[in-house]
Amino acid sequence: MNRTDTLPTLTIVPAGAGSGKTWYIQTKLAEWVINGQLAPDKIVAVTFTESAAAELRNRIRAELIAKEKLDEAIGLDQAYISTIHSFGLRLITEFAFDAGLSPSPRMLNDDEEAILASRALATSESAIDIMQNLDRDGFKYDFNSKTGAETSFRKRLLTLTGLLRSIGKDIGAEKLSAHAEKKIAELYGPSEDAASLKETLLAAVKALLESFPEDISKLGTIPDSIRKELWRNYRDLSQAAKSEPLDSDWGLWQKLRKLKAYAPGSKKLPPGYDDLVRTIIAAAGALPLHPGPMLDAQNHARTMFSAVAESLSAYADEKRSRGLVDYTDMLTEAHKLLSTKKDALEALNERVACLVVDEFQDTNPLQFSLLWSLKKTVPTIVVGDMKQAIMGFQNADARLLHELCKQNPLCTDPRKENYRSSPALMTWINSIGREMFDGYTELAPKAQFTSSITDALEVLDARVTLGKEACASYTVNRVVELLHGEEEQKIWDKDQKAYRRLRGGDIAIICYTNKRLLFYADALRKAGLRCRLEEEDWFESRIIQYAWYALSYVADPEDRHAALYLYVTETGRHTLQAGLAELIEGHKLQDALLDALDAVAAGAPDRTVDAVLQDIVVKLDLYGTIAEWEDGVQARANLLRLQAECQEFMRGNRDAMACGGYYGSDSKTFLGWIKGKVDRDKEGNKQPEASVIDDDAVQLMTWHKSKGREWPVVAVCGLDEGEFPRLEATRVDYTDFSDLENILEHATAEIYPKFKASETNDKFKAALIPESRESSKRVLYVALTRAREKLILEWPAYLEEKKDSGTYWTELKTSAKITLGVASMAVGKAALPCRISSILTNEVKEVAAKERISTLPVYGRRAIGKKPLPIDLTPEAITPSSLHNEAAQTPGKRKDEKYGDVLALDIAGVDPMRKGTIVHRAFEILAGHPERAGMLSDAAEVALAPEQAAGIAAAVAAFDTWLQATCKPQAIQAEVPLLTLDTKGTIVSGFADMILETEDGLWVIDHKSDQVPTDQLRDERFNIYFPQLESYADALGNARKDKPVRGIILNWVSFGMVSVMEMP
Amino acid sequence: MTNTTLMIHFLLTPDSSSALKLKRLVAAEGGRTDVIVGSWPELLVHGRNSYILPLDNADWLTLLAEGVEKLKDAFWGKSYGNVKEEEKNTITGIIGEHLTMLLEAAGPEGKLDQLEQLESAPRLKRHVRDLALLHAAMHCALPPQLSAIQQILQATPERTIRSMRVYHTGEWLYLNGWQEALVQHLNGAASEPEEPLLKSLLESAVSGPEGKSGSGLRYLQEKLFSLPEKRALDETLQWLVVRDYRQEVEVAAGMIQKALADDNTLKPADIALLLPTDQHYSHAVRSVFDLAGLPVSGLHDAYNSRDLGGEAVLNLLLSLDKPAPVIALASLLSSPLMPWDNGVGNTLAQKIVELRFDLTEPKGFGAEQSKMLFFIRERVSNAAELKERLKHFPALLNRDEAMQKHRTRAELLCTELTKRLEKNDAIPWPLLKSLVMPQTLAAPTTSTTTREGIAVFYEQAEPWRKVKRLFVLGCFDGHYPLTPSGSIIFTDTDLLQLHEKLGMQPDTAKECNGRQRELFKRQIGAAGDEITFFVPSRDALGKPLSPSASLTFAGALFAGDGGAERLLVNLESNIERQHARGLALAGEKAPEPPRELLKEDLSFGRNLLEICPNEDGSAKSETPSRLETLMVSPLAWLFERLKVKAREWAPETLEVMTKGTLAHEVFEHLFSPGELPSADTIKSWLPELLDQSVRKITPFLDRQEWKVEREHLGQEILKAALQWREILDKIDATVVATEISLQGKHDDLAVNGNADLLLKSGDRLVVVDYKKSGSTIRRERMTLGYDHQAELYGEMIKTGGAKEPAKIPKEALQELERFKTRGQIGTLYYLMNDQTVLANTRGWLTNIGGVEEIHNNTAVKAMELIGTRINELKSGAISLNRATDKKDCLDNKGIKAYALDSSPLIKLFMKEEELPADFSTTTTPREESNEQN
Ligand code: SF4
Repeated sequence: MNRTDTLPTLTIVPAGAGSGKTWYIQTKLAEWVINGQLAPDKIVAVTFTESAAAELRNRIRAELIAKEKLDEAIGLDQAYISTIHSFGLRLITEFAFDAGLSPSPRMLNDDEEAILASRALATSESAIDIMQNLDRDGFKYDFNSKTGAETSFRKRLLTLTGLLRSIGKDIGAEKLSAHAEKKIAELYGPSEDAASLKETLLAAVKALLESFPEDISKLGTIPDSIRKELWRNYRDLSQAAKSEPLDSDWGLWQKLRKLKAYAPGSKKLPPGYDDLVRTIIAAAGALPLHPGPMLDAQNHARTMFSAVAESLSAYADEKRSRGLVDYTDMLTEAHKLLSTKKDALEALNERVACLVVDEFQDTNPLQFSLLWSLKKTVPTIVVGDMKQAIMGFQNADARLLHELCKQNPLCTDPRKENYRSSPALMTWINSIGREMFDGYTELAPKAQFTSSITDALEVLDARVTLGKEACASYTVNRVVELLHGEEEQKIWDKDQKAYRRLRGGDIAIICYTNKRLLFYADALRKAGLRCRLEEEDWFESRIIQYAWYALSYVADPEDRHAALYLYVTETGRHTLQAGLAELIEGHKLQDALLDALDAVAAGAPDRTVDAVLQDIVVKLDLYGTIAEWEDGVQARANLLRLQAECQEFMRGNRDAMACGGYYGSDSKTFLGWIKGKVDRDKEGNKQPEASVIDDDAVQLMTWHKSKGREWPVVAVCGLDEGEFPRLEATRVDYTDFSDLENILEHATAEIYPKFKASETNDKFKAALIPESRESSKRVLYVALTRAREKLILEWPAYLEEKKDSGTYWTELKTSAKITLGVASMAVGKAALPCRISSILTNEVKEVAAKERISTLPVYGRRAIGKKPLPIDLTPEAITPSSLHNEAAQTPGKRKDEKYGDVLALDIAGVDPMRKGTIVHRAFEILAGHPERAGMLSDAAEVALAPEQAAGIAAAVAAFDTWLQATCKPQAIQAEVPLLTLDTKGTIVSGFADMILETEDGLWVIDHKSDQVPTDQLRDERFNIYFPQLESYADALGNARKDKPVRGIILNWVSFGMVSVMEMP
Repeated sequence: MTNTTLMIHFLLTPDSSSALKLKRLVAAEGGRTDVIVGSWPELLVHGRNSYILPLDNADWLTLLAEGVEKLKDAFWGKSYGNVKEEEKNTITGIIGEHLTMLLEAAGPEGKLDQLEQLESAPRLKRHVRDLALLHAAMHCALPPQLSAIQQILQATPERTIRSMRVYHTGEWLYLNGWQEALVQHLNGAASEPEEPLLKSLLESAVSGPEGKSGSGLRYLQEKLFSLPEKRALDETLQWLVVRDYRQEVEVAAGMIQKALADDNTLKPADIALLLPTDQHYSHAVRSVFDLAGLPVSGLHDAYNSRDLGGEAVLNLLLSLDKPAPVIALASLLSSPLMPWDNGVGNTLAQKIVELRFDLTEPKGFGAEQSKMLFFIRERVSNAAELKERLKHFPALLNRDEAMQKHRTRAELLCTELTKRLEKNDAIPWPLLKSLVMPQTLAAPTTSTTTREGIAVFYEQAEPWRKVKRLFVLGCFDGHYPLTPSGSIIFTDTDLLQLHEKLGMQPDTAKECNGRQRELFKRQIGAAGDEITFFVPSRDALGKPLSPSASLTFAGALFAGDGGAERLLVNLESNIERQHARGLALAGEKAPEPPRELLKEDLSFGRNLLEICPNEDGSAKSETPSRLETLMVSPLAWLFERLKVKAREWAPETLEVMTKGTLAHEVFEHLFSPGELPSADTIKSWLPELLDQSVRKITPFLDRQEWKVEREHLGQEILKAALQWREILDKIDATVVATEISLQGKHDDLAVNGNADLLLKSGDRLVVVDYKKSGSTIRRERMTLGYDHQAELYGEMIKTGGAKEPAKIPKEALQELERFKTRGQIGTLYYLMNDQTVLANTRGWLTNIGGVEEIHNNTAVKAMELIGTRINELKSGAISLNRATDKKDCLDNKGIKAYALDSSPLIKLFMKEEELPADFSTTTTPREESNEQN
């Protein structure tokens, strides 16, 4: 069969930006499949996103089809091509029983995770210790996120948990913390005797308070400007004098170091005061040498590690019993499975013949190990680029790829070509790469076009400090010039394979942060250009507020706030004054919009919330309304999401909802749920992309998001920002790299705590700087390699004067050894042509706004004409038994006749419907076949007492007798299927209870078990049933042309009566 | 005899939509009285009814559950032992499916015991062996669908009441071994030969390629999923890329309108839509096509409905298991099943959401309504009490006719629950809750099918009509062909082994895929003139979608390099859109500008202080906090007065305000008249005091998940209390009273408010206000003269006194009386978060660390502002806020303008646009330094 053993066991493919790695994977795999070395259903390929997976699958499929390998292309359906998490999930599902897990794992949602983790936390002794001392451990109210100390604590714990889980450590806190503590001691450096340090300080404090027992801030001689400070000093001194605080309150030490004092000779403070303060400052200055903060930090690290370990195990138990998994479990459990269940690994090996890992630089240690356990037995291709490892915040660790390459130099097959950028740009990129990275692989330019654009490289050289707004104005100015300047710029259109004029959609402006992009968006708008930007405030957007209040009102028409909102804002027609005046007079607000919503509110009370919202959408024609809005395209995307959220809410698992505190499926709960969802999670408040292609809009994007993307023209902006190590930090280290096979065992975590003394903090930060510089270089590389034809670089040269290094600009300039000439840029020894414009004033540069042409979309909702629905349509099919009570006119005369006794069937636990069925079945099998009476119970599928069975049999017999006597039947058929078309062409299909054939015609017989004791009731019921019987008769007439249909007979089985009617 | 049994011709179709198609073909040949057209379930019913068969008594599900539970060593044993009850049911279900699958594959003659053949595959062998053991443990019971077949196969002649001949074709129908056996059995006993006409009608019902020969359409219909020569694409096919599902529907509707207008020979019935089964496609088609006046036929667009009964019972349980989650309680109170109207329910619910747990009875409640409210509110202490509640609960529910099925459901559940409460002891809450699983009630699947309407085909069903034009919607990855879900126990390799080694006929994923492809070919085969495929690039939430796999195969049929993407016409691209055929286009038009809001100061021409008076007609009295609102935003003040307030639901949260209430409550008890507690006393009392106030104010804090908040709050209060004790100790004053309501007059305005603590030292009275916040802003506010509160307390004591004298100790009353005319009154804030005291006194509190006296007139500006605003109100004027007010309040008044956030309307009606937050490049350090309140 397949000669898998002929495949290389390991291929490492370092692939620089634009080097065509997907193409490599696709052709390589196709080649192996075509050569019969690999069965397509045995491919496992791991990519970074689901859409990348789908694309890879499609491309391999296309490749195979192109090579006329149909079966193989079809076989690809069974291949595992997915993200690593889906792969893990698939493993733990398929091998759930081997692993002792639930075979239908459910992904737990954020609320559930938060609640289960919180509950687990409550079971951890170590965590409780921290909870009781959040202040001591530095957990405070956070002003940026507006969250309390509790949340900061949870967040920190979560980060550490994530980190530990990414290195597969959910137990063994002792070992981890031993390492971390050692690291802390090492970085902290030597310390002195705590007792004597304190003694000195305390003595100095006391000395001061002896001389100045009172708060000097109130003294008349004190300048107003320092009163507050002195007031605080006094308070701190009083605190310190208590002695005990000096044993643990390092913040107090630090405050004492900063006491207010003037140089000798100053007369501002009372005589003698300054000297005493200076003694204190000197004594407190020993803080960095005090062993206390270090011991606290170690203790903190230890407690954090054990808190994580303790709560993790409680959390894991809870999840397992509920059949829940989170993203990490998908990997941890899969890894555990492969490393401990030989069976499972063998079974898997049978199904896998080749492993492909894309974006390998972004794997974390746990993912690495999971893949590695497969790699051991399966030929593997690893594709990645160290230089593009920018997912560190997700615990990805590029050192793994680096080590892998180092250990397997013979297996590497680096890509050496670039298919993205023009030769001019490539020369520059290669120069930069050479300088910035060791062992950089040059990429030969192979893109299939020659760029006609002017100046492949362009620098906006800011000599003066620029504000963000000004900065954006210069860049946007250049964009406007390129688009509308005198010199027409042409670019190569990859899709159309032709040169054409540059459009807004060909340009991207990329920044490090999202926030920064807003300045560019604003500048672009001012310039009359459209832009695409992932925007927040979905919930606050006009249409969502509209829909949200409409739904609120429908859920609770007495919600005066919602009513007023709808009445006076853009959605309504009235002024605020008018609305409030009505309310002041005690009136209910009334208006066409509210009337429409009242009508929706009056609908069925058990509608689901998505049905209610749909009612609103239809009633107010929301999609029609927003189609005419300026930002209608975005609005419809937003509204669509709201509708989808309703469905998510309905589908949401009850347990998960309950964890978030949400019960019930009513609209009010939904409204609270969706608001909570966007409040809790900023990501969750992003507006969905309004369109996928927008020819004229300039793309705004972060450097991170731009990875993998490309544009003809790219402006790289915001280099004045940077990555600065921040405490408290956590990081992964490895005790030994040589043993990749067991890398998790060598992985360990470190905590870099935050101290009160800045000197100490500096030491810890310094240890983190090399890594953050590496990471800066990589994210720069990603940003700088996005352009096909032209790169515009903001150049904050003014930073030269600032001491603060560590900005991206500094990093780029230093590591790539860049200097600017007049019309060139020197990179190391190379000099490259470059257009340089200098910025010499820090004012915002105005752009002449272009006339804004805003047209509404021409297809879609706007292109539909509103029209009424046609009425009176013909049904495609009917079943006669569904025809009831259509105010029927009975054409003939009815004759009622008694043939037998009343049949009272009373069977325990059998409802009237079922009783009817039993009787029908009895007539079917017994009519003409009294010998079958013994099988009646079987036929009825219910145990009948002998007298019941006898009663039924007697009734059938009586009917039989009457039939024989009255009608002289030639044939009787029971349960006769009728199938025919009526005059309008509608299919009529159903079953007649009996068809009776006599010499001169046919009769339709129908059994009914209705209670019809009186003539009047019988009349009524007969009329109700008549359309059905008539339909049988018509159908019969259609189907049997040999004899006429004479009439119908209704058998009232419960009363032993028949109603006979001859058809005219 | 006269009872003749005719033979039935049963024409077997894959599903009901193909049956519909075939019925028409048969009926059009003239009516029949001996033909049934239907799919497998119908064959099974009619087949069974052709015999008199005893009831199958083996209860497959019970036997299965027992067996799965019993076989502890089986491969599922470990998982089974590890999970909770509901998950156990899931496992049982999965095992049952696989046993069924194995039995089906084995066929009627099959046995599960030749396992030696599987030696080489130990894992597979173990799986099969364990399932076989399970089957044995179940006494070889068969799942219902197989047991029905078995019964028929074994039926004796005297039990036969009629014979049946089954017609089917392998072209569109796959039968497993059991099904084959049944068909053969029936046909073997058929009393009449096959009718060639019926056979040919059946064959002609299989949708053949209808496209005109030579067309691209025909080529696609015939050759999709194969590797023929490439040829050029023509106008019979196009693939349009749009953003999302709704746009697919909109564009399709537009195109159909245009097509009908352009070609009057074309009728709606000549057109069909092929839709994915996902409900949102159907719902979008309903709303868009109705709007466009296009009738559709065969659309399944009914919505599911809520399980009101299940929800009510579950929420009742949750409400009775205290502390009740607020939303459960609120949802129950406002359920349509409650015996009161929606308005009453919503009002009660709103109180709960605002953590006001005293559910007092609204006016006009009848006996049953009171009883229901009592049922929901009062806790049950034992199983007997709960049983009693559950017994009477259903009878109290809304009697409305429309609520019948929900009431019945509630009744059933309550009965079920009572059964678990036989013994009169502790209540097994988790068990009870797990028994009530509200589920959305599935919508009826019936649909209206009309002859004139545009036919709707579904992805999983056969097409039921030939049409000229077909619009295929939802061509994204996983659809066309639909990705079948595989087995989690047997891989395809396993299944092949079962086939090779044991001669079984299992259904592999590969075959399943193949059948899906064939189905898709039949679906597109129904079109005669042209097909438009729609490829959405985003899902409803905005996540990217990839095109359907069939696109790659289609790409292989038609010329052009660049792969299948060359077939796609993206409507979003101006250039590509030119290539789309039959697209309906709207005229260009300028957008509708948003309505301009009139942001002018309001004027109502009447004294606004007099609106919404007290019940006795007197004007409402103001409080310091309402006056603060008035200072910040008169509009917010008016909203408050008019009770215009957002009625939103949110789960329990520990707001800063609530934390403050809890801390106040603890302080009230710690620092009361009498001796000052020692530090140790405080430490030992605090936990119990906090417990008490938690139970009263925020019962939910008792839950495990709130542990961090709870501990932290305890720690904060302790720290504040210890420091406060020290300060009190140094102040040398006595506590006169705690938590005392004061009232009095500010000019002619009635005011009232609560003082946290009154301290007396000689002829000085200090009104103490605890604040759960830091001192920075308060200091600023006092310094700037905007602290109205302190002044008001003084005024209240001078002009009035205690609001409810009866509730206050005599000594305290005397003191208040005394200070009306004599002595000095000062106000002191204790800011708990940084344990600082700020007072408007001078020289009363010297030389205590952390105590600061700010003795300029701390209220002068505030009183001026209040005066102005009150005059405006009297004249009926409300001035709107300005965008700068938030910053202005903070910077120039030391007030955090919370009132501005009380309704989004306030922001919307600010006089200038507010600066977007992102543009305020630097946040002032002051703003950062002051947290909460
Ligand atoms: S890391 Fe996980 S969650 Fe993120 S894209 Fe990959 S698979 Fe999806």
